[in-house]
Amino acid sequence: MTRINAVFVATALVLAASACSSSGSQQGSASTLEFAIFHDYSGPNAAYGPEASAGCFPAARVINAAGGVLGHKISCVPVDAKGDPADAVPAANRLIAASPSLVGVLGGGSDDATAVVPLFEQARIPIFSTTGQDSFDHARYHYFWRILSPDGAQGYAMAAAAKKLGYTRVATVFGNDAAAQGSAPTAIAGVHALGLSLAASQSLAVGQPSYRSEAQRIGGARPQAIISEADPQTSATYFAEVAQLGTLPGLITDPVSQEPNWIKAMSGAVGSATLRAKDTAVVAYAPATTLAYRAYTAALLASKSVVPGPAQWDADLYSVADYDSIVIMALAMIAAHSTSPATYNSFISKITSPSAAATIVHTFAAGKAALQAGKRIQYIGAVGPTVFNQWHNSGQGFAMEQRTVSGSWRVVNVLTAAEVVAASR
Amino acid sequence: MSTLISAIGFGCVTAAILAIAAVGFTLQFSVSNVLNLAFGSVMTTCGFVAYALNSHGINIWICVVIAAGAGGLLSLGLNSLLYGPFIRHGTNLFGMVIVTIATALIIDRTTQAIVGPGFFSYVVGSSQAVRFADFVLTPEQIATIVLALAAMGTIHWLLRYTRMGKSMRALASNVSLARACGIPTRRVANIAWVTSGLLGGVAGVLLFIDTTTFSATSGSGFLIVVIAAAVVGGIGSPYGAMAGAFLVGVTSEVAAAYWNPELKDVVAFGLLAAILLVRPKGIFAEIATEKEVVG
Repeated sequence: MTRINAVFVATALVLAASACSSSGSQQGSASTLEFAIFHDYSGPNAAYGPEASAGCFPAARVINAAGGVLGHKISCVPVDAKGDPADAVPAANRLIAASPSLVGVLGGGSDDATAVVPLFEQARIPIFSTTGQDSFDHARYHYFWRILSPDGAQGYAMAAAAKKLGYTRVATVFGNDAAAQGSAPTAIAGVHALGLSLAASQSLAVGQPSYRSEAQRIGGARPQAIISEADPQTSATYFAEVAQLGTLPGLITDPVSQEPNWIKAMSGAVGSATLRAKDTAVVAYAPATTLAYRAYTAALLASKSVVPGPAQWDADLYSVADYDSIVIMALAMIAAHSTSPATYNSFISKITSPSAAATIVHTFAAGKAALQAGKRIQYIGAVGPTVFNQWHNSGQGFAMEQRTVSGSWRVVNVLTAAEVVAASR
Repeated sequence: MSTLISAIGFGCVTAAILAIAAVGFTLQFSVSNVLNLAFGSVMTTCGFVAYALNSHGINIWICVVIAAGAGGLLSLGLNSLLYGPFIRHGTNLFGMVIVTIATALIIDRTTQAIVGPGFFSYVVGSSQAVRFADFVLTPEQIATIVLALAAMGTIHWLLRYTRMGKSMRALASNVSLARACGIPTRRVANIAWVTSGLLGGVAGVLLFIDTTTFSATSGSGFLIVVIAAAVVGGIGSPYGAMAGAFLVGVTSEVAAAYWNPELKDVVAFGLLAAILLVRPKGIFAEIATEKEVVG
């Protein structure tokens, strides 16, 4: 009898353990699934966090409004990566260890991606990164995903934009931080490949109190335009000094120049009107007129309780990409019939790949309905078609945008993917 | 040649701001023996005081004066209310360094929580450069150099020709002896803290006028250069700080003019290291390293 009891107890323990394990991977029916916004909320790039929040919270809103994912509500959890691997690594470890409901991550900016992506890879949690580092172009990570083009493509696009704007003599000025340096070599290569004259090329030590000598050198080289990427403070100090010493040439900048902090810093430095007249931002293209983009805008504007000043992020492609990232992960869970990160991860590329048999959907609700009806889907989100290659990278064309008096952005021209590729040859 | 002259001119602007900050930093250290790593945060706070006034239409140069006063009060408050109790409880020099780091973090994070993570600019007016000889400087940069010269002249007068200045020098040299001679050490230390704050306030606003934009952590970012200038000059020596500021400011600009601008700090700090190899206590070493901490 004692022996039978022992077997019974052992069996019960095994079943209980099994149930606990299942609950862990399936995220128990009543639990809320957490997506971490693992970005900088403090430090020099403190705008990255709010920018990603402006993608995550609207996505959570539309997903929860559509009934959630496999019976679960979802939530966004901001985690400050502080822009420095020394801070980001322990923060990532704490997040992984202390968040049993964590199912996906937005994060891995250029400053810390190299350090934190391997941690989430090891924890088998999908991470949708906005890093532009070329080192991830061919990295064999299973759980790393990137919707937007790498910095390398950005550099080629900026060179192509210079040519399209009619400039023949340009200079390149990039900050020496990892984010800016990602596109510097390809911008220079693109200038050469397109037959433009490179008047000067500078790499700035970021955060200096003065760049007067650098500004004077660039003024002496007399470029018609400067292709540039640098953080707000470096850009503001540098270009103010270029303007003080002479005339500010045309500026060809990357999407950082569309961030409110960059605009505020530069407007204070060179004047709002001058900035509007001189700056052309080259940004990955996402036509704002699509159904998916309108859905994003509506959800963003309705999320003002958790996203302060939501309208400022409406044209921000990083926010849009983060919105799409959350929707893609949520749809992948439904397609996989599992909220387990290790399981749904392999469905991410399946629900975005083009296929003759796939039903094209532009919203989470439509995607969920199609999947529940047993259909195969291709989600085309607010950033446009997302087609991941074998290294989980996707990309798209670019728009050349200028800011209007009202503060919105106007597309003045479009660079096709072929034009960007031409600059890379 | 014109490149060199203009680079020296540019370097003088950086050196001017650096000199005001480094003298403020090192003067207080020489008297109190507290390495105040919250000095950059005092600069930032004063920068925001000036911003608050400037955004209400007050002329930026009036803001400099008011911000300097705010810096003096803040610095005095830090010493009287925060550092003083630690010192009286026997916290040693290293312990005080940690206290000042914590203070810097508290001030920076609180400031960021209040003003947000964005960037701010003063309304200064037209900043087009004027050219004379081979110098190319804006009116604000010329005013910065003039202000720095005036501040350095005042500090020289204070230290050389006033009773208070002589008391400060006595404290910097030997606290026990100064106390035995009847010098009111706490009062003198408080005045050194106020002077340090005044200079920090002026340097903060001038720095942010020069960089054209600033954030809640800009002052702390500048602190490393301030300390470098103070150390190369001889930590605790106001005259050394002036020399160190000139050296760091001009060297970095000349390096940027002739070499890879990304490496201008490498040149400036490499030279600094070379000088310290030859003169380990700096160009004008004065302070007694075993001195007691004065609150």
